[in-house]
Amino acid sequence: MRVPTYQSQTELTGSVPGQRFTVSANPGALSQTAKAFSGLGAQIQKEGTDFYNRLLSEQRDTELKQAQMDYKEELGSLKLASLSASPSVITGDGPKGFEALAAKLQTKINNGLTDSVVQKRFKLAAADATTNAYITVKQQARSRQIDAAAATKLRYAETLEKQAVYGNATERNEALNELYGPVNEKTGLRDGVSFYKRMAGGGLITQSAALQYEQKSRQTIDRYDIEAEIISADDTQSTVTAQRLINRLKDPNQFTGLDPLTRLAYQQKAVNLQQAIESKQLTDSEARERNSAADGTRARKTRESILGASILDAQAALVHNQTASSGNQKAVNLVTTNTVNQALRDGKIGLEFAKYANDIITRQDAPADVPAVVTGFTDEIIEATTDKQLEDIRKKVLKSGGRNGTVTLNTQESLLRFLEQQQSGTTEALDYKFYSRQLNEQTAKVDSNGFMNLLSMDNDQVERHLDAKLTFYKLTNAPANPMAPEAAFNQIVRQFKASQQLKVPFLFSHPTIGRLLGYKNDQSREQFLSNLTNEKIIAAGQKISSDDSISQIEKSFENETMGLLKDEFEKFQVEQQNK
Amino acid sequence: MAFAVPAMTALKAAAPIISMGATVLGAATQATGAVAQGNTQQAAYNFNADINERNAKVAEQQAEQLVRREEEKIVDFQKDFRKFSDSQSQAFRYNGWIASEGTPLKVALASAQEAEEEIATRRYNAKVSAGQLEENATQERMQADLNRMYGKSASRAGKIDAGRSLLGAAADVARIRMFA
Repeated sequence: MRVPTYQSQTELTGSVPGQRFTVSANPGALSQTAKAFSGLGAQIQKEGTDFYNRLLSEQRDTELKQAQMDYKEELGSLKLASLSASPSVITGDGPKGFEALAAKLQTKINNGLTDSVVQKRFKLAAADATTNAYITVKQQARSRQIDAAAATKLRYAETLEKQAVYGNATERNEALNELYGPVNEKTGLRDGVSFYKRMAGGGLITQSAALQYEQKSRQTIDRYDIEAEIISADDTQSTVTAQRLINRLKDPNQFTGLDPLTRLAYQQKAVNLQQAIESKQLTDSEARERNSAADGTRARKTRESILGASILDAQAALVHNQTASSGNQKAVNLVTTNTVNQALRDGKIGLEFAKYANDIITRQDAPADVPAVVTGFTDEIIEATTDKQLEDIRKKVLKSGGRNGTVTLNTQESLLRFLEQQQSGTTEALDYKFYSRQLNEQTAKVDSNGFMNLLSMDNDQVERHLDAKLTFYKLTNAPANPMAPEAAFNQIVRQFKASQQLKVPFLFSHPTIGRLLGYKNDQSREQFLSNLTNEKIIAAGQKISSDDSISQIEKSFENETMGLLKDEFEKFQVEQQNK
Repeated sequence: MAFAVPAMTALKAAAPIISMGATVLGAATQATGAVAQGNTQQAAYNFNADINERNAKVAEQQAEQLVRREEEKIVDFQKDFRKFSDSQSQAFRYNGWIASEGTPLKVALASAQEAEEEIATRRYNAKVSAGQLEENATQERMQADLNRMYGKSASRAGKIDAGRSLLGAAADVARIRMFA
């Protein structure tokens, strides 16, 4: 039998109490908050940084721009000042040089800046601006240096031009060689390298300016040469020289520096000069002819004067011999009418003078001087301005004598002397002219233009005026002891006023004689004439004859006045009786 | 409105300071955030590492349990085989055979051989399975180590980010100061 045994039923389990965990933490998810916090910080930082960036940029930009503006403004002033400074100083390295001054200015502005970055940027910008400005300043300085050098050279060129114009042939050639180069043997022209082209080569002027300067220089020299020829032709009054110049101006190979218009103008000038010279030569020729005629006239007048004097001397000698004792007789060189007529035929004297001379010789005298004619002659003589006018008056005076003439021989002779005297222009002649005009104003009606208006005067006034004028002439031109014009004027004015007062148509007497006649100032015609007697007139006549203080010519006037006064007295008496 | 102009002027003067302050505050916040992020990530990684270590222990326990259970089964098998062997000897003897010699002996030896091979196989299989579990435990431990390394790295990254933020802010300010 089988013995039962216990057999365990449960097997050992294969499981364990622990389980494998599949749980796990996600680091990314867990750190979201921190990440977000960090992102916030990043954003804040970004915004702050951006704002700070913009703010700082703006501040710096503003500060920089302000500094740049200040600097540019000051730099502009420096540039302006550099224009008046010496080019060598302004471009030099010295303390007054542009760069040193700009650096000083830069430092000054830079020191005023608070931000070092702006300072650096300003330094860069300022350096840039300084460089640009310095380039301009240097260019200007260089230009001024070139300009100064060019000016010196151009002055030298002017000197050469003057040397070419005023120098002798050698000097001229040297100057032209230097100015335009030597003469090209093939072309015959100075077409080498000119002074101005050398200047252009040296950079002092441009090529076009060189050309212009050369053209101007050549023209200047040509113009000098032409002007010299014109002056020479004018000085020598040579039509040949003028014609030669015209021919040269017409030749295009001559004066090659001239432009066509100038050439044409000079041609016209030369032609004008030639015509002027020819015209002057013609005028001179005519003048010579006129002078020759004048010389002839002067010679004729001289001969006429000599002949006239001879006639008068002979007549004076005859008169003298009539009363002189036999021992005091004068030699008489009698001039006959035959002599006069022969001289006329020979053309030695004129027709008018021949008539006058024959009138003297044959004593064909006019009955009396016509005051209007004589005073007319005197007025014409003193107003005449040319020799021809005087010559014409002389002829009229010579023709106005004779038996039926209007001027007596003595007055003719006196007028001829007066004419010569006025022609001489002496002080006495000028005084006469002055007081004669004054007398016109005092004794006649004179309009606003100074012209006498005799038509507006009555007969008495005209006669008084003419008598005053004739008396003035005769007193001042008496052959013996002529009265000074001023004294004669004063005396005649007094007499004229008395005549006006007394309403007589003649010049009243000399004051001395007037007193004898019982005349008192401001006496009326009636008062005077009613007190006048024939005895007083006779006494006055005697006084005139015996008074040595009265000149001979005055005496003749007074005697004439006494005659007229007597007539006036008789007329007055008739008037009184008829009342 | 009279105060407007001085106020504007003061604001204008204070603006750079305010903006600079915002930059500093932002940078500090960003840095703090970065450090916190790093720390949080490290904590998460450490947590994961702890899980991995626990899983490793579980796997080791499972391996031990597997071996123990297989040994117990082997003991059971050996009991069963002795029963079988006794039955076999009994049969032989019943049939008259001498169980401890000749063919019965050979048959008994062959069966014993088979039983031994069975036990060896069982042990081998258990060992292999335990080995797999131990491998898992090892992998979990390695993962734990790796997570701790990740945590440390995240912490360091946070600090570095914080530094980068501060440095970046400082650099920005400096750049702005230099180039603005």
